[in-house]
Amino acid sequence: MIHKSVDSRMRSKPKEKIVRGIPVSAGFARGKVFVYRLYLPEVEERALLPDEVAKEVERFKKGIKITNEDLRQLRDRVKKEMGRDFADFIDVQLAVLNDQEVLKKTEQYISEKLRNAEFAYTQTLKEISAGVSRTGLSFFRERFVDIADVSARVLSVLLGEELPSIHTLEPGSIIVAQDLPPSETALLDPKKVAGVVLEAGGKTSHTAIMAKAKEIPAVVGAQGITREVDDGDDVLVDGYRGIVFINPTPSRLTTYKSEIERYQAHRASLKALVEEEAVTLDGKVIDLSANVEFLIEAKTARQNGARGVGLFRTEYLYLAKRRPPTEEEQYQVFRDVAEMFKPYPVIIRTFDLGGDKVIPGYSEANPFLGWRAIRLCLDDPVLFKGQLRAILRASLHGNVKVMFPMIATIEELRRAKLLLEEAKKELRKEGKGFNEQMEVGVMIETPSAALLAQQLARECNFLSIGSNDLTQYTLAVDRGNKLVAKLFDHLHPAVLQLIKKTIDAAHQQGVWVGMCGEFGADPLGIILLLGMGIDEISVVPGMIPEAKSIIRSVDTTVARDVASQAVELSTALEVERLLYRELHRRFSKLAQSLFAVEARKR
Amino acid sequence: MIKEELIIGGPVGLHARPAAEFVRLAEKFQSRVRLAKDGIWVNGKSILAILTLAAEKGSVVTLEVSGVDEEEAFRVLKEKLTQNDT
Repeated sequence: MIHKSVDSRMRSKPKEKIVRGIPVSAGFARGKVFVYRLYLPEVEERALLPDEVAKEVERFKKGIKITNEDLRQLRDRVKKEMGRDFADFIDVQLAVLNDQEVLKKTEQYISEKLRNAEFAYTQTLKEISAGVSRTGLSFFRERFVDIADVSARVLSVLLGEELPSIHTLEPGSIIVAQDLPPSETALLDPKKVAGVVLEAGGKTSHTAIMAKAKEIPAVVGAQGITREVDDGDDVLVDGYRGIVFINPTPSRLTTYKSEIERYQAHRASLKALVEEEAVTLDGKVIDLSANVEFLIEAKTARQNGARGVGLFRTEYLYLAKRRPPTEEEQYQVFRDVAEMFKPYPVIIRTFDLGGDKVIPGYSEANPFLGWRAIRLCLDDPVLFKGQLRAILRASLHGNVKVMFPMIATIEELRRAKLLLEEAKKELRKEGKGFNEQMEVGVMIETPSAALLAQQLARECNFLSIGSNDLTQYTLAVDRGNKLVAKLFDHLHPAVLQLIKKTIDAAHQQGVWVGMCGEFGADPLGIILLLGMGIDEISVVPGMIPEAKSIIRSVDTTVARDVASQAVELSTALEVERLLYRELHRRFSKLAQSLFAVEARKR
Repeated sequence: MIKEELIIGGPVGLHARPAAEFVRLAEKFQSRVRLAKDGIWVNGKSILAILTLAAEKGSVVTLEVSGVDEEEAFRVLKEKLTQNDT
């Protein structure tokens, strides 16, 4: 490690290195690297005289008190900015900090062994965690970052050292880390942090969510990056494609310079659209709404001009707590979001657990074809009804609708509606209010549901197409499996036919139909949806301005012609070719401004 | 003193967050709270000690509560440990 850094400083022109990862927050950033490492202060052993003990114990207590104040402050800030669930992580850290056993034993260590507070504290922690090694390692490892963060905080207070933290950064820094503890993620400040690159993490890690919400370009899953860089290295982060350039060459910088300028101009033009309506050239208004999971995303969606939440995911409420959330916990979250978007609708999707959103401690051979979503809920009426009651109660506070995922048969819809009626009856009996006219929708995610869209639409108020699962089930491709992921393409004509069938069926039955899958965030997909007559499109909050600008530059009669050609084609590649050709021929204004189309081509 | 063997409920057993919740409850009572698994006793008001037990869902743990408010404390803590949340 030391060797390498000396090496790189001695070279006059460092070589460019490229590390790839997953893009989680779009944009470009260039700056100096700050490598965030778990900070473990050096602790020295110091012997005390017996008459120094009382003072040392006092010093230790004061250190704990100061750390408590810091963490509490942080928790309140996290709660305000990111919501209750994130604050829970810091509550665990507070419980570790105030662990009676640790405090008592540390004080004993100081007074009996006559050692300084820092040493006594470190030894006590070691002693207690030594009991772990038998079976419980995974229990500890899971929270290792949090526990280490607490002890580092206490030690740095005792030692009077400044904890090297993200908030002491030079403005314009790029944070590079293995992973960030929640206490640090909460402090990401766009004024100081120009970009974030992590080795760990996926698209839904806290860091990804925070970075996106704060519009900080970020790349996660960048394996090996912490070994490749040193503090102060020059890096360029491409949050659009998920590429990190370490020591970019002059020619690289020139190429990117023009791209960054175009990107900034593009962003400025999108910002100007926030107050405008999502209306096509020929005057059709589309309900452009957002897919939301966390409170902070809802805020971003609102700022970006979303006209509602087209998909509010609820799995996180379960998975983050690692236990089913209570009715009250759910009610509070649903109510907050409903109030935030009033009078615009918030569509709450009931638990879509199972599949890739695994319930801890439960596994099965074929989860995507197994016990998931509505199936699991119907088998667990207590869990399901608790959620339905929470949704109903929240319906008093805004324009709330409910939607059932993974419906494959009419019976499932009927049974779900029966439970909804039972929940209503209970609430009436208890004198708790709700909206009697709350709309009920069905997600179209299985080929079976698309084929039966007509019958389903007869028994509900709206349909919403989940294109990701619909594509997976239609093409029989698990896109999480690297060997077959390339076969996954939502532009496949088989998928297009099912989407068209669903839209037509809904309209024949006089109900509205939306799209809440990634198809709706694909510029080419949006053109097809407009051509097929979609009423609502719901996308990730950051995509709202882009989707709006696309909708505003499309004429639905032209799009209809393109869509009717597309469904007749034989392969996904043919569909893509047709769309690119038509894009340049008939939507040329759109083609010029489409940054995302280029990103899609890669 | 009240002492009983219990089977840990919940989807994951006594992981960090449930353990933090347990400690928060235990601290509300004056009684001494102890937990044991496989013959090893730990302080029920210490999150780190509880985590060392690695009490997965379905494992058998002994809860021991002794003190002035032991009855109420035992009832509340037993419910926390065994609840299935379903």
